[in-house]
Amino acid sequence: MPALNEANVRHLLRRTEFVDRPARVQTLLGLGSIEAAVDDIMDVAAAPPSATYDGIPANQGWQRGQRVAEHWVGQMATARRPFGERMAFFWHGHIVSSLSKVDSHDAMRDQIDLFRSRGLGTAANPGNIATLARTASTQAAMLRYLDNDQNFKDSPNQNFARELMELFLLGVGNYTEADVEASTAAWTGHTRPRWDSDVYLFDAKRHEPAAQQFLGQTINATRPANEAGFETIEVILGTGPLGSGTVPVGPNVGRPSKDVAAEFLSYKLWQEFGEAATGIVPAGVRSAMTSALLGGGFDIRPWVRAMLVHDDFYADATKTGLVRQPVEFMVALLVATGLDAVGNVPNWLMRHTGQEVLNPPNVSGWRPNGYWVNASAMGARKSLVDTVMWKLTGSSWDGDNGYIQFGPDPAKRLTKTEIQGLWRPNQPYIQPIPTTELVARLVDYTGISPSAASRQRILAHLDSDVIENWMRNDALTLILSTPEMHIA
Amino acid sequence: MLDPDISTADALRHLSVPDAADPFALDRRRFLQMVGLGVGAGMVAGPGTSLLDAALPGLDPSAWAAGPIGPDDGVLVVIGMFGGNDGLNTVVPINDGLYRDQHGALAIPGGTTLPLDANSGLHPELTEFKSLWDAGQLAIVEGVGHLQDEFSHFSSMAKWMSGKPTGIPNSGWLGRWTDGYLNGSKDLFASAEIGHSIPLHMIGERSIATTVPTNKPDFGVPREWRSTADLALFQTVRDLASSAPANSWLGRVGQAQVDQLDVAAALNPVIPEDDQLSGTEIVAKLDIAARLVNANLGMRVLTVGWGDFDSHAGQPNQHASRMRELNEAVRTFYQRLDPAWGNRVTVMTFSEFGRTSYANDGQGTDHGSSAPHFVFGAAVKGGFHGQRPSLSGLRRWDRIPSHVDLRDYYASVIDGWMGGGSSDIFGGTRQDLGLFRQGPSSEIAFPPTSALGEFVGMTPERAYDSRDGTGGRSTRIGPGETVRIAVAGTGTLPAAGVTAVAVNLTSIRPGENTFLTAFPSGQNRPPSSTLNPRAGAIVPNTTIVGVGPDGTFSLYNERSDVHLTADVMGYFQAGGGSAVSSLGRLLALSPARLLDTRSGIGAAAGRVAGGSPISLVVLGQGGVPASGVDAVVVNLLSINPTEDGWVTAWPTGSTKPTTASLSYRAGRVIPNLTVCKVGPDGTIQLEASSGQVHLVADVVGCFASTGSQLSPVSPARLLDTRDGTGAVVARVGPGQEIVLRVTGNGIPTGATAVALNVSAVRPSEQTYLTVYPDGEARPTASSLNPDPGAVSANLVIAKVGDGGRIRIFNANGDVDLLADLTAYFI
Repeated sequence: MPALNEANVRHLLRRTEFVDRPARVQTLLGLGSIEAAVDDIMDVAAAPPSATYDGIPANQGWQRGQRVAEHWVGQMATARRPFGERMAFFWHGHIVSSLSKVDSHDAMRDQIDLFRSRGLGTAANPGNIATLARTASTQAAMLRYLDNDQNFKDSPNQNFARELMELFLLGVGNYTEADVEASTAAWTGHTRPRWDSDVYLFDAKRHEPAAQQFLGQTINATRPANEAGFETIEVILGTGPLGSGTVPVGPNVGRPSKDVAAEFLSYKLWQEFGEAATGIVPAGVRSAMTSALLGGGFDIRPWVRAMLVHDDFYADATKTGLVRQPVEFMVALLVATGLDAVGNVPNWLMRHTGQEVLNPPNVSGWRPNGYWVNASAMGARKSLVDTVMWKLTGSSWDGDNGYIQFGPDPAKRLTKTEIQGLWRPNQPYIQPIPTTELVARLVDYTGISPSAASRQRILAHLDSDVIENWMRNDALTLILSTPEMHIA
Repeated sequence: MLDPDISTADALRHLSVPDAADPFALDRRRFLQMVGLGVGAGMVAGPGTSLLDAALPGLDPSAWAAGPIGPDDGVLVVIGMFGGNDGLNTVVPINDGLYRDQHGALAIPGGTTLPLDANSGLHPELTEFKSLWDAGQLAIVEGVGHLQDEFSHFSSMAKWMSGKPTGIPNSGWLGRWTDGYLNGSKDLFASAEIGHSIPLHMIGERSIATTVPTNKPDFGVPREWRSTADLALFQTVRDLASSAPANSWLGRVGQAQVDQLDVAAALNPVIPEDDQLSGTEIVAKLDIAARLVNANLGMRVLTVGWGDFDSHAGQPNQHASRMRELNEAVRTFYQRLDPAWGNRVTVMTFSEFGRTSYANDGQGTDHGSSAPHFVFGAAVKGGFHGQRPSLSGLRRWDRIPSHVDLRDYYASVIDGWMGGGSSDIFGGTRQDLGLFRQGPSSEIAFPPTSALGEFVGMTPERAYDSRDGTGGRSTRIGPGETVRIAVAGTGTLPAAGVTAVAVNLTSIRPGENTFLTAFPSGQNRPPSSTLNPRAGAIVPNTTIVGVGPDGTFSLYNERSDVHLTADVMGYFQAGGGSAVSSLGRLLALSPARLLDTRSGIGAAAGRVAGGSPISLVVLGQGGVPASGVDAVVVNLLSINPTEDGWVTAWPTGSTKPTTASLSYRAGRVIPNLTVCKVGPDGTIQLEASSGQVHLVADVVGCFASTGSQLSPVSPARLLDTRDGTGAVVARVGPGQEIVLRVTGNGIPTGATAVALNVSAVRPSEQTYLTVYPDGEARPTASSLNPDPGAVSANLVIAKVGDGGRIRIFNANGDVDLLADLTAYFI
């Protein structure tokens, strides 16, 4: 059983709630066990608030799309229990759609809201992967993104049927082209009434009526035509009346498809929350996760919990094995500064970091770690820091009484005089606060804990002869720019 | 249910991400240095040296000098035309009735296109492409596509950018080329997208391009008002990075932050201020692309792109604007490109698809499939490649068939220009379309002999005088005006075969300071200057300028208005012309002083009096052969005349012409290059018009039976010390020399001499410049004698020295120097 100590709790929080704020660390440390801490983290809201378009006219589609993204990032930063948003972001990169192809901010909002409310669920109403995939498959976002709205018996389009297996549920190499064709046939007829409509429509006339052999099971035979597609999900995961399918080819040939699916999905979850440097899921946690999935009928909560309470999750290799994705970094900046996401941090600015919410690069989502680490992307992250600094020292900074305010708590404020000192004619010079106090208060207000070595270097920089008092905002720039700020 | 029209911008965003570089890898340059491949840094940023040396002063330059790119490495510039370009209106099948039927009102009338062959014309805006075509440097690859029905911007662009017709497009064809090129090492500067995010085609499996913004990158470059503090800040960021073990994600992140600082520092001096760039996106981007090549940062692949080509409606204006922008961008690119790099750069285009052959109901076209694309550069095998798709049998919604798999198109560039590797990139053997005459090299194929001309000396003739109507006009040349000056077929010049003229131009009393540019008619006006007269002054200059197909050359005036005279001193005629003597080839000489009346060289000491001609012996003097010489090229210098006047030079034994070889002004020092036929006795006559004046004459060449023929080129700026063209941005100080490579960029290494118009900008004091071949002792001679504070210019015939280089020596004070090449001799 993992020990309930500060290092473990900080790691747990950074992975599940984006940041390890000291107050939250103390709360969890007081709960007595890692299990209790995990349960607290998983106690997420049943119905996270959906984005609204207040003030954005209906014809401003681009701005509305930005609003959906910014609202969501804002919720990541401010939700009482952010893990539901974090899980939603995992699903966003796994069951992928993108605004740029979907071209409907409403459709994307619906899909994201599905992930936000059902991607983990609550203890009373737990999320389930089969249900999640089924619901997503008939939403306009997925119909548009993988072209299933153009999949008809006379002109089949395999795009969705293929990716459902290859990327969403089972993994490449565990099915044949015949299975893709069978699934494609089962998924025919799910469409929309017009090219510019987000309404789901099942067009029975354009559904392929013939029964299909899929992973060793006969589908599209007994159920209503509009449920034939859902049968493919049930067969892959073994959650329906037909039971599990069987993998027909490859290294897993002959195994139940649900077992292979459980391993595939657990690998993806571990890559997102555990570590992605080795490409391997440690056997212990892998077994715990797959057992939880299969035992729970692909319910999400026991699966996630099995990972978060496992010793392997707290191993050193796990703790150092992930770079913060740009969205995680952005959320950390927002939490540290108390800024609102909406209006302060435009989603398009995120694009240059390589991760723009609502726009994954392709149907396989984002890749981890090294994907984010290069000179250009780091320059883009520095631009995010600059933007945050600029917003923080906006109107409140002008004049002798200027200040930087961190969030709503009036105690979390540094005045311009404290940072820079103050000289006025015919009055004694007011000294700024000492460097150590400046850094200590910034660390306190932001909740960011640079390493001891980084803190020493930041102090040395501020104490250098070339840094004049008016340049002491460098302290915050540097606290937000340490390498450890970029580690998850 | 057709829903293909997500915006191109969105599709691009969708396809643009940073990717997994391996930051652990050894930096390529440091690796090369470690294995001992170092070359020295130099003053000129050409192949072998790099602005990196200057850009990263905190680092040991030798660590960077191993690259940046090898002598036979090609550079590839890829232009994306986003939105889907209408290929039929770009390369127009002018005689295809189906094109006119299907494209309807959108079809471009054949007569307005720029002719390529009997059946094809370029869009009327593509004049640069026409010039490239005429020079045999434009390949048009027809019928390129991905052979799949795919009409969404997103999906089709993914296929084009990835070079993978099937499968997940998670890496790009240029990125995979870079993977192989770097082979596991790391180089921040191997490939770059000019823009803000990295498009899919620049993402490899193991490497990733760097983005170069169109504005100066800042974090990494100290700001003026806190430069010391900023340097300390950057150092602290470096220190923070050093805390972590390198072999950890913490260490990799830190190294990427350090890389970011290095990239900003290296790019900042290369990228100009916003107001120095065109407001047109693609023009600015290709301008920066040329600057990046010039800076020799090691970049092998540069990508740019712009739109919108998605012309569903209102196509005529929209498409013409895109074509105009493309043309302007390519012109700007070649004007900016350092000549030393000209033979090392190939440019190509792509677009996610062509458009439908049928116009739609809204003056537009819809998403199509195949289209022609351009590949151009000095080594490109000009002409048509691929296969032109037939339009027959196409119905309303049919797409034009593809005949060339885009992978073959790419592979032909990879294998023909970038050193090979297409089978690794595309997973199999691709067809080579044969788009290149040769690979990258400083050598270039010999130009077509028809362009070469031999010199025909003559007694000077006035071809143009705007004061009296000679040449057909008797009004001043206005601001922004270009006049054509007829030379072929006028006077004693033949009507056919004149490739260039040596002409003395005199600008007379402009209303304000201005400049004038002479260039071959029919070509685009280059950003160079031939004359830089101040308000009210009379300023002469000789130039050698190519003659256009209509037998004229063009002269442009920038500001105010000005009178102009043009005196033809000789012409160059293509081989076979009736007037070509056996003595029409230039023998370039290191400058030698034949006359100096101040010291009694060549004539008695003492000022020459107006109206009293002197005979100057030229045969057998200063390297001029004793016989077999038709004409000499002499730089004349007038020193401290007592009043204004002019000097006439003519062959002894002929009647004195009414032309000026040099206009002098009281109390001033003014040079001018002149070409003068030699009299039967081996002498020439020089006569001042009035007053008394010291004369100096330096011979720089002669026309004889052995020597080089002239090939005129559109003037190209080789040197501008104000913006870093050809040399670092710095005024040239007293006793300093610029070493300038003049061969390359279409100027063959076999060139024996070049005609350069050299301008001196605002010297701090009276000085003189001496232009001479690299590798020889600096002669006692002057090429230009600029006055303090003024802008002055003179034609220089410069013998080419070692390594294709010349030297320009400045005697006194400091000065900015410009040099425009107008012709070469080979």
